[in-house]
Amino acid sequence: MPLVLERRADAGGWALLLSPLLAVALTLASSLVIFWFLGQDPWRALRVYFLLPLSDSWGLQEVAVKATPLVLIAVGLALCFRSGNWNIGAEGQFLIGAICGGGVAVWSHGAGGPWVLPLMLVAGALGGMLYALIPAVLKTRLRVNEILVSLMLVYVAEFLLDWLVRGPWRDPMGFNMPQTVTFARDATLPLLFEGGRMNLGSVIALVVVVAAALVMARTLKGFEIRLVGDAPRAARFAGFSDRRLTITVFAVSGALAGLAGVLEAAGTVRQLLPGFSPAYGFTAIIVAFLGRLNPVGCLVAGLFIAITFIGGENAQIILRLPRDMTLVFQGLLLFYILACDTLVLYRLRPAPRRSTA
Amino acid sequence: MSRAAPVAETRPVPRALESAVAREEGIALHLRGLCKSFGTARVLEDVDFSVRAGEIHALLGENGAGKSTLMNILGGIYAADSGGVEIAGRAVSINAPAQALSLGIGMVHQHFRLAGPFTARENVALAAGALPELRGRGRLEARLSEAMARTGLEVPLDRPVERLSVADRQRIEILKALSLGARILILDEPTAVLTDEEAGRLLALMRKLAEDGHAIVFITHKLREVIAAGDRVSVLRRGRMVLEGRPVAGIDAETLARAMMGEEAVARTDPGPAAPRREPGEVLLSAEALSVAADAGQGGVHAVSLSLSAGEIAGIAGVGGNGQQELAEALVGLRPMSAGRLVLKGRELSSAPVGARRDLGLRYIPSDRARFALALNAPLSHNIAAGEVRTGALGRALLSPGRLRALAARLIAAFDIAGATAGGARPVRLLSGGNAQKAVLARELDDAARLIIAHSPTRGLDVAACRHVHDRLLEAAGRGAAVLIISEDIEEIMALSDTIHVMSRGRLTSPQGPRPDRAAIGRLMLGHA
Repeated sequence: MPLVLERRADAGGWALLLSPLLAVALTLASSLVIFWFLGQDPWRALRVYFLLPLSDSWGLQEVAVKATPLVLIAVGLALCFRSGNWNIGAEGQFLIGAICGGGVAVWSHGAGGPWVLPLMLVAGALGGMLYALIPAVLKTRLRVNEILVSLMLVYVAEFLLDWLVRGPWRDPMGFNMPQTVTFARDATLPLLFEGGRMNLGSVIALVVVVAAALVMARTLKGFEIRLVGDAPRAARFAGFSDRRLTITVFAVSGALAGLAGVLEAAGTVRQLLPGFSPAYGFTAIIVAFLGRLNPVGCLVAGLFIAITFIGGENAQIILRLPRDMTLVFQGLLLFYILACDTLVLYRLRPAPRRSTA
Repeated sequence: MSRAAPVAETRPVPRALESAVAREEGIALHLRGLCKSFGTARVLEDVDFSVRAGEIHALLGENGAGKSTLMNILGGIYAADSGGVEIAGRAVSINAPAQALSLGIGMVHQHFRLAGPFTARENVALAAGALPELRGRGRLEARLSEAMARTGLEVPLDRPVERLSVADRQRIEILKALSLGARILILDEPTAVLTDEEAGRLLALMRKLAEDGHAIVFITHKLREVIAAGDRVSVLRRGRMVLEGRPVAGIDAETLARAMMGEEAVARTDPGPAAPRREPGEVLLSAEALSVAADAGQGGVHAVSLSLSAGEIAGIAGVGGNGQQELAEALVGLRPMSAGRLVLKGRELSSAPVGARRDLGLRYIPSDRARFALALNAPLSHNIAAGEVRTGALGRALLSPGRLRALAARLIAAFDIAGATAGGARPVRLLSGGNAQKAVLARELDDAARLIIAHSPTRGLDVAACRHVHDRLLEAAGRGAAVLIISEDIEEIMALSDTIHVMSRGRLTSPQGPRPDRAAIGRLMLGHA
């Protein structure tokens, strides 16, 4: 029977919330089938993937450690995307944040004090912000496409990091390894609990989520972001300046990505080295959309994606499944969320009986 | 395309008989019991409608009456929930626009469906892609030149469509439909975008096509045109056919208006007492030699000087595409001026941003509300608040949801916006055209409005909604605001304006005398004065 897609006139708010949940459920269901094909006991595999990370303090803390940068970056991207600005270069801003903050740590090594950590955080956020302003200013002044510029600046940041850790910032006692010194105590974030790696960064991420949710829901700036994103012309003629908003949202998302970078450097890795980021800045794009471009949604989505990362590590160790399974999950999830969104906005109906004159 | 089993076999006998009768009478298109709902809203209820070959059948209805839905079903864009469509007596189902084309249904939409950067020839070829029998350039060319010869329409075929006037684009739409073999031609408010003279020419063309044996469905709001051009008329009100296929000869405007709006509405739209003459006050706006540079496809504005006083309504008449859009945008601050001076309330504002101008009381009702004035997916309350929110009246950094709702509730009541929930939480896209325009008015005609630029404020609106818009503009002028109306509708300009200007090829001219007549304005519009 042929089917047609028909736009729903009344796609409600509840349905938009339902669709990510449905997508997660479908991903889990599909993964059962995949595990079965891989010759695993599906239920055991599912436990290893999705429950084991949540079953002890170490696992939970690891999930938080992975989720922190994802959530921080995604919240900034959500504001940016909501206003119709496409910052695809959060990965670059993340690295620049780590470089600026890490630079403070390297420079103050051996001559530190309690001022080092705050200075690092400020330097990281500022660095990310300034780096994000490059595409923003080019967009507003010269109408250069921000997607291309922000994306290509990622590679610039990667090479800069590469050069720094192989050149001027290389640890003199590091057996020629391309990495900086391990940060001193006053350049690292305090851990929250014994027996894990969760640090102050996760708390900062939570605060940012709450603040961003308030900004979006209750402030003039949030109103402006939504209006400009929904109808840029209408917003312009209501007297809002879309250029200034472009600068603002790029600055905010860059600062948050930079902050995430320095938190990762000072809290989790504690030194700079190539391959420092497992592409957090790109994965955060998925998180932002999975979270419906809503700060609280980004928190939930970030935690879920973090679980698949940790679960993937568990599965490698316990089930000897390849690491690519994690990517398969993330791909499936994105696929299902797009499909569910379509079915929320449209409905399938049997096509009317075909008879052609 | 595969031929399905003969439909008549599966139908009860009386229908088949009826169809045979239909063929005899030359009924080109017959709709039976068409129903359509969107969610819980019933848009069409049991609609019957028929057109004969060789006639112009006018379809009247207010905004939101269901005309566009009906036409979209015929065009293969929507599927009906129930009911049947017959073409030349044969039951068909139309599942895609291409299918509508191959059945000989041609649509001329209110908003043209042409690809701007392509030429007329290319646009026709694009549409012909759906019809296998027209593949190959030679055949299509032949059809196109035949259609041009038959209709006597002359349009530039090799210039990008976006550089052509609205009237030319409409002609291309008509030629396109005819070249693709349309026998049933549906024109959705075709005169809304035309000047009086162009509209007259279009009506003559429609008559000619009807005499050629085409079936013409003419959707309109204008009673005058129905009586002038229609053979039969049907009236749709709130999704029901309240008047079906009555000969125009035996009907008067009064009856039609009543059918269209219902009894009570007619009483309300009777012309009230003439607006009291307003004494012009201080000069609020003065533009001196304002120019806007021409850019791709647009002619720009040349040295326009204009002055507007408090309480005055000035009208700018003219055929669309003569610089009106550019002038309006330059006044509002959405487009830079290339030369000249703009003074608002004694302040030089030639390069001030929109926000600064709004703070001085400048308001704008753009001609294309869906694209320029409204965020369609945002709630009505946000759309209404978009103007005032910057002033801090709804909370400075932190917005107050309570005040937002209260503002929406007050304005929904004051401007009588139908289809809205009390707090204005539903998105604007669910409103009909007239009610969406009311939402724009509600936002723009606030108490702080001092200078209002209204560009085609009633385009595409029904009689009652037009009346509403005009009343509000008069009210605003009565409160001491200056109003500039830019419109292609001479009636509208003449009915409302204290002073009248005419825009032609980017220049502004003013006819002689305090109350110029239509002929004088018409001559200026064509640039012959």
